[in-house]
Amino acid sequence: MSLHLLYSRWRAALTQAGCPACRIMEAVARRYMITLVREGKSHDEVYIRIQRAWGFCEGHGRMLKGISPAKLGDGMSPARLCSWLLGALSMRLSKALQSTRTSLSPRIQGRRWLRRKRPPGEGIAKQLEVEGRCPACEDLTRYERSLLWGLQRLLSETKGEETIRHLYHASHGLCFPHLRLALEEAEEPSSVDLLLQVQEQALSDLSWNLKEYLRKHDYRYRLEPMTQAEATSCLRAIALFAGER
Amino acid sequence: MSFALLSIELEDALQSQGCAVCRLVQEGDQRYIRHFLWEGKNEGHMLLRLKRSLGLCHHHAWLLADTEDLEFKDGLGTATLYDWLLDIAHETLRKARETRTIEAAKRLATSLHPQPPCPACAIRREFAETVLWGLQQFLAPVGGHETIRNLYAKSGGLCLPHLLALLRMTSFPEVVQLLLEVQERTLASLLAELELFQRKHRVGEQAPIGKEQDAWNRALDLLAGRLNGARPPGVANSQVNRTSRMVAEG
Repeated sequence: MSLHLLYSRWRAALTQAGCPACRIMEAVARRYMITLVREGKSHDEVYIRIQRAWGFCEGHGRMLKGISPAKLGDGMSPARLCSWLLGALSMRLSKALQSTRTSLSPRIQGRRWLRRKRPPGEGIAKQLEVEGRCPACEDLTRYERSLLWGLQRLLSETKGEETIRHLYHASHGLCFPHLRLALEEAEEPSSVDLLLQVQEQALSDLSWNLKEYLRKHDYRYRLEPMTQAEATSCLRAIALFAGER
Repeated sequence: MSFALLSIELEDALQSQGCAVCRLVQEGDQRYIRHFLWEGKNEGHMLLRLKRSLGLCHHHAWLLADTEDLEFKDGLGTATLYDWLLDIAHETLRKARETRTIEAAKRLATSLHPQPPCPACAIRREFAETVLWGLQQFLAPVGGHETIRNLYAKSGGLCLPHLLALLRMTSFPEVVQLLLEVQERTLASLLAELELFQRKHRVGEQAPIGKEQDAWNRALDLLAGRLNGARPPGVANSQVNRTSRMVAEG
């Protein structure tokens, strides 16, 4: 992916509250799902990937359900995709069901059952099981990695961009899952230094806010006014550890 | 969970829409989070575990915040836990910054990788296995549970992940047969609804769209399950509510 494109994404995201990588990924994932379900599904290769995974993981399925039907052709695009998938699943299921309806006598069936080594449904489960990862997870994980690679490059003292360095310095850093990815992609000590410096400051501020939040819940100090930063500190701490909602 | 209690819960769940196992696991998730808020998080071994897993996973962490907001209205349990975790993370980060090398960064990245799974996820997995094991016992032709067998035969079946798990678990060919028959019927009816939904979108079609409106939502649930969709009722905006209330009180 072009560094210029990443530059504009980071530049916009770093001015928003919360983990900028989470913000970018949320928008990208929504766009990806809309495109995939509206257009992408009609390409053979893409559809085969979707069918091998029997659709999407639960998280991306939920995301799709949360997208306004207007953006999904009044719900026609996902309805068509689901009917293709259910049609394929139904065919496999019918085939599996036929194999269980045997014309053998109950006595022979009983003997076979006693000799069996595997549970009777094992073979059928194998025929129906998912054969690939959720395509959205697969593609978006790759994108996420290049996004974080781009960030560490843009933060580099020698190859980076001063604007991004400046914006990142003023930000609250990344959530831990994204910080881990950025550190895994890190190529230069200067990027690592900036990433950790900002993160430490963010942690320090958040920790102070959270301690104040707890203190002001004590009956002795409950009349002290609580700032916006303190009031939101608990939710920001969760977002830091687990990623934005 | 006792066998009798499970049968009662399964009877209820089988009369509702969607996968009964997903429903029970969602409810179990919420029960566990409530217990975690009251007592669970303060046990010694749990603190060690949370330290290694860096708290709860994304789904359970946000469920924790929502549940506490709904039940206790203060967020103190969550705040105490994350305050403690923040102190640990802060110390780890401070140590990593002292060396300022790429190797130290990679080591820090490794330490930011939650080692054991989130404790709530582990409990959920165990509970799902219990429910599945109970269900296949109740569906068994010998020593099973007549009511549950009948309810299952009339139900909408299971989601695909739970169906596969149950197929692998049961040792009765009759249970396999029942599972597949119910699933085939559910798929056929859902497919018919999806066809109807598409037909009603064609030009010139006047008939109003009915319950087939959300057929594709149900199809997605059937294909992937619905384990993480659990949110306590009325908490969609609780985050905003709590924040605004705190500020207003301040």
